[in-house]
Amino acid sequence: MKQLIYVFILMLTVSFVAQAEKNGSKTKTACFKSSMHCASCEKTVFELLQFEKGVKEVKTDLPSNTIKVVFDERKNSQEAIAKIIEKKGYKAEVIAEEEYKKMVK
Amino acid sequence: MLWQLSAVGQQITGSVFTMENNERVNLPGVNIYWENTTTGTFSGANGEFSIPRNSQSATLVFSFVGFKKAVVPVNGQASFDVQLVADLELEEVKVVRKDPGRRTSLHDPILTESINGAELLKAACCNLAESFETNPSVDVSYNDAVSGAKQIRLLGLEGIYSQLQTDNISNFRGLATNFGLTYIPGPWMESIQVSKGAASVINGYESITGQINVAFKKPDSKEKLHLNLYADADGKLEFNGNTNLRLIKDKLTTGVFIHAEQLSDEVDHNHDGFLDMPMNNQIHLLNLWKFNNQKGLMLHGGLRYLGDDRTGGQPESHRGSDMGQRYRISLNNKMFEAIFKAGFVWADGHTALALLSNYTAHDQSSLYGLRSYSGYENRLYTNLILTRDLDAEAKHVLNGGFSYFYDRFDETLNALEDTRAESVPGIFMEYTFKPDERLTLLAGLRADHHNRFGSFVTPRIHFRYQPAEWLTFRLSAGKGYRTANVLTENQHLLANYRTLAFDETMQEEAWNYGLSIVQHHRLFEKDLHFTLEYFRTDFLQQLVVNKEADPLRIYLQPLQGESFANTFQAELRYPLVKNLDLTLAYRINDVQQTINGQLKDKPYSGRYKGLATVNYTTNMKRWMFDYTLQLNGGGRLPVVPGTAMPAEFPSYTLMNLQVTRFFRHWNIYAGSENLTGFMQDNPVLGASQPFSPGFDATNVWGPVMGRRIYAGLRFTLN
Repeated sequence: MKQLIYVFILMLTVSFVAQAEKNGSKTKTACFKSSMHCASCEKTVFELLQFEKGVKEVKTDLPSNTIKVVFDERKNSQEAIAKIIEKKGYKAEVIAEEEYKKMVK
Repeated sequence: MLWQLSAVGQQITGSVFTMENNERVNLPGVNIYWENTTTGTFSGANGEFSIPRNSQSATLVFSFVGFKKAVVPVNGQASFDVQLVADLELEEVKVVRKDPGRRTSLHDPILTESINGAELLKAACCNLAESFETNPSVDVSYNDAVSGAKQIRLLGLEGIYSQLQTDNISNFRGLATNFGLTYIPGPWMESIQVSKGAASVINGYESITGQINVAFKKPDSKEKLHLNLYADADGKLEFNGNTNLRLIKDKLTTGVFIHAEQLSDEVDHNHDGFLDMPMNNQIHLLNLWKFNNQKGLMLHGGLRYLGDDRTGGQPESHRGSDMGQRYRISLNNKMFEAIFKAGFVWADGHTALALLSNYTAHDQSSLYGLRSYSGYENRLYTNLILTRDLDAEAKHVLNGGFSYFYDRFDETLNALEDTRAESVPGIFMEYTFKPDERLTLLAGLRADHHNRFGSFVTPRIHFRYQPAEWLTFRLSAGKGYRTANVLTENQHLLANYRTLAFDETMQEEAWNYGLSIVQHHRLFEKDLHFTLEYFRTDFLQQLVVNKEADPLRIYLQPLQGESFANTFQAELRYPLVKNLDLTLAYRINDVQQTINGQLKDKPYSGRYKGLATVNYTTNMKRWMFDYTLQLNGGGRLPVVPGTAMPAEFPSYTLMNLQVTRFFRHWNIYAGSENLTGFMQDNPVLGASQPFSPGFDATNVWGPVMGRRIYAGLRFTLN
């Protein structure tokens, strides 16, 4: 039992270190205009993307109704991410990062 | 195209929400209909709704069990949001929101801390006792060095002075006092509410230092299946599972809960010839039912069974040198509980009736060396509560009702038999005055008649004032009583050579006063929470465990003189950097009791406690790291006449660490409790001669278990 648990902890550590090392990858930022109603929609959007490949950061902003997603270009694409959000019934209209910065105060 | 636009114009849209702790929480499943018609709809998963205009009515009604009905005249507007205000607390309404883990309510007139699912993930959390490890208000310690039973302290006093409830019904008391906390599996819990100081009179005359309510997962919650496996390096295995079934849509639902645990290895890390933890086998089953006709009537039912066998003391291979025989501890517990609750909210939304009841049978047989103890307990609890708003805005609310409590014990200690029964009818009334959001006054009074202790009155008062958004003051004062089941609650003292000298059952009586200030600030665009609190408990009558009069006897006797507890606590919560939450807390305990005619520090009571918890969660919440540091101040130990035992125990530090990795449907975790492996010296005194004077496994002030390494996985299907 003891050995099993130690092996388990070792695996957990290794996978964390492995993940941390990959952080030097190509990141891209996608910004969307959306149609969220409330804090709970924000949570839904976050959970939609939480375990998607390559996604590193999700920032939702209700007042401006925008979503910012930072992801690894080699693992995911702007189109695929938009599709996931739209599939749940929210709008995901691509906007430029400059425009996003203007909208989110 | 034009037609489509006008059709959209015919729809009334918006969302329904409620305010909790100044946060907007959307309400799904709210019944929305045009007044005096049968046309209606329900709000969606995020509280959103859309309903076509109606020619017969221009008034929309929003109704939801547990909330006040809202009646909204619709004129020209096509879109609006509706806020519902919470009504009778029949049960917590499950809402979806971001999880800060632990929160202190700003609106509750009683200082209440809510611990929810997010916080419960931060510890291995096999059971209720362990879920308090990251909590500054509740201390957890071992009862003795042999049974594995844990007890809590709230406001510096033992767990018996706070009331433990499950789904708002007083539970795990009497025979279950010793193991109650370890009998509530963590994965079954949805949340825990810890309220400090005198509680509402609605729940009874007990709860002197506070109330701990465990809310189990609801049969109609969105979680379909949850599985948990846990193992530690000492060979302990646990399984938890629960599932929900919808039998008739939203009307009839049932939840099935399973818990099983086993430790079949003999663990003796300190090589004192006594097992650090008893070996055990436990099975625990719970089945909850819920019926909601969505028109104001709600019924809850439940059945629970628990079987737990523990064997501890000296291991198989070991023999005491004095009798040539093994000192063995065996504890067998069987519990059965039936639960029934009903709630009805009148159509006007201003009156509600609730019935809470349970029946429990508990059978225990135990052996502490040559001493045998067995107990059989039958308990019935019923409480009928009527809530009525006295005006349309609910500025004046009255709660009143009746309760009846019956508790019968049949106990046998060696050849000594004792049978007793408590029968207590009671009546109560509570008035809430809430002129606006900033002020609440809660005044309650109850009268009970006890078949042995006669009639007694319990007054309690709470006051909350929020002069500004960031500042909340609370004051409370109240009386509490409890029956000290002398032997039942102190049976762990049997793991001792000394004989127990006790009188019959007595009633304990105390006043509790409290003052608290909660502050919320924005500092560098982040929320800072700062809480200061002071509580005092003054005993008029108390059962005193006196280990200091006679080297061969432990007296359990009524208090003669003063006994009190003062606690002062400061707590700070702040996200230090992005994704890193920090909690710092410090508490001073001044707990004194008159023993042998002298007012002294109460034995085993630590003089202070410091706590630091750090939680780091990565950006996408895929990884979570939790670290807890506890500083426990030293305190006084009982001085046994004629021995040269230390009169003080030292201060000590404990650390816990856990790492959790989340995946879409499951997560895995690993960690260590008591990372530095700190253990009390000689938890079992005279371990080599357990049948001779000097043997004592109850002189426990610190951890009796060393470092525990564990790992587990959880699977959730929503």
